[in-house]
Amino acid sequence: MDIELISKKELLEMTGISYGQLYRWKRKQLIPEEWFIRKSAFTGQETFFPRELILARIDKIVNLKDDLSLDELADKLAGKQGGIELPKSEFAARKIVSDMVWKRWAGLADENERYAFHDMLYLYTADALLQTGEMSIEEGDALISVLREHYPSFNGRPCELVFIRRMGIASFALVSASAELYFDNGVKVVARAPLTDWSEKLVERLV
Amino acid sequence: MMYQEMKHAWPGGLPNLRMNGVIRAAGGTYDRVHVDGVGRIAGDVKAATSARVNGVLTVEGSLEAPELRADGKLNIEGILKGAMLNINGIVKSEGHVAAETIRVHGILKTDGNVEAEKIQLHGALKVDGLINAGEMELGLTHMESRAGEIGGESIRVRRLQGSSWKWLLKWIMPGSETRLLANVIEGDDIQLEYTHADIVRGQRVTIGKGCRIGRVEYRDQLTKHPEAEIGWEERTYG
Repeated sequence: MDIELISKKELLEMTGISYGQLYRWKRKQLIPEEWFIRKSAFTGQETFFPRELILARIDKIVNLKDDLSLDELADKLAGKQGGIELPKSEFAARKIVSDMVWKRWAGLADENERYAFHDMLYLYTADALLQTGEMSIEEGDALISVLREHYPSFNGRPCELVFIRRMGIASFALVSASAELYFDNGVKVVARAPLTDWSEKLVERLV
Repeated sequence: MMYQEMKHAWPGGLPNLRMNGVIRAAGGTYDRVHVDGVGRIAGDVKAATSARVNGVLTVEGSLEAPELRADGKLNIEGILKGAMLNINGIVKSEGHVAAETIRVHGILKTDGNVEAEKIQLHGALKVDGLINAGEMELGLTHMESRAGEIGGESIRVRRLQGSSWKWLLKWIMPGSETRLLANVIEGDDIQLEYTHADIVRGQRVTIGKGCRIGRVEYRDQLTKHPEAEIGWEERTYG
């Protein structure tokens, strides 16, 4: 998995921001530490960034900074996955999810559309469950629709995905973290895991 | 806090001797932390209001205080964090140092990074990592200063005349030149004196006397002292 990088110099030329602004945004944690990648170049040590992530982030900061204070912005973008976005084509090119998942659940939307972190997370979660063989692709439809419809209502709070099967019929639920759930004997819990498990893995693959 | 005190009550009516000198305390959260003498705190310590150190304090962990004033020597094995750090003497941290404002008269030493909106230093610094500051004024005296990288909006480095700290600094690090060594310095407004750096990049750059810079990249303006040495200068896009 090759991530396209951009040098700091090139980034500043492209976006027109200054060194001072970049350092200030780093101090305010608008740009995560992990995105600063040090590499040796012919001029010595140079700093690089994951190209698509940093361009999207700077675009966002530049657009929002007139309406929000830097601290408010930091709240919005805080955390490792806060505010991560990628163009759809870039996400596809990274091959983070399998073609099958891509074709089934991502194909309809416009190619130039950008993916927010949660969009990527839905596909990634479905892909992970398919890979384990616990879920069939048809059942994935239900999973994707549950995630799209209800994940945003947790608003960043931790939640768990519960995947059950009763008499061969699959069902999915999202519950707030560490909720106790009891089922009748006919229910088999196929998988139960906090969504953060997948989001952490996804962050690692993105940056 | 546990005070180690020596009390001698004499039956004959002589005064007590109270030594408030050697203090060992457990870490934790306090309202105020006040150390006179030689102190050692086991573990992380957090002061809700302020911390005041007169003498020597070693923290076997991190120190966090909105307001910290230290006269003497401060050893932090973890992270030093606060809003206003005011240090006269030596501060040494094995982790990062982060605050709104950092004022040091003496030596600032850290194995990690330094982050602040405003840094004022009179003396010397040894920072292994990055110094990231909005506004930074370094007044160099007595000995060699070192920083891995420096980044920020306004960066000013000057060499100052020596002061009464000379004997102390000479004793700690004998025979070094008063100058700043850094790999990379990047900022909007950069004014340097007696600085040796591989790369300086900025909007408006002034390379003053005693500087030796491998490569200068600037956007708007470069001012150069006739005695400054610059290996390669380049104006990047307008």
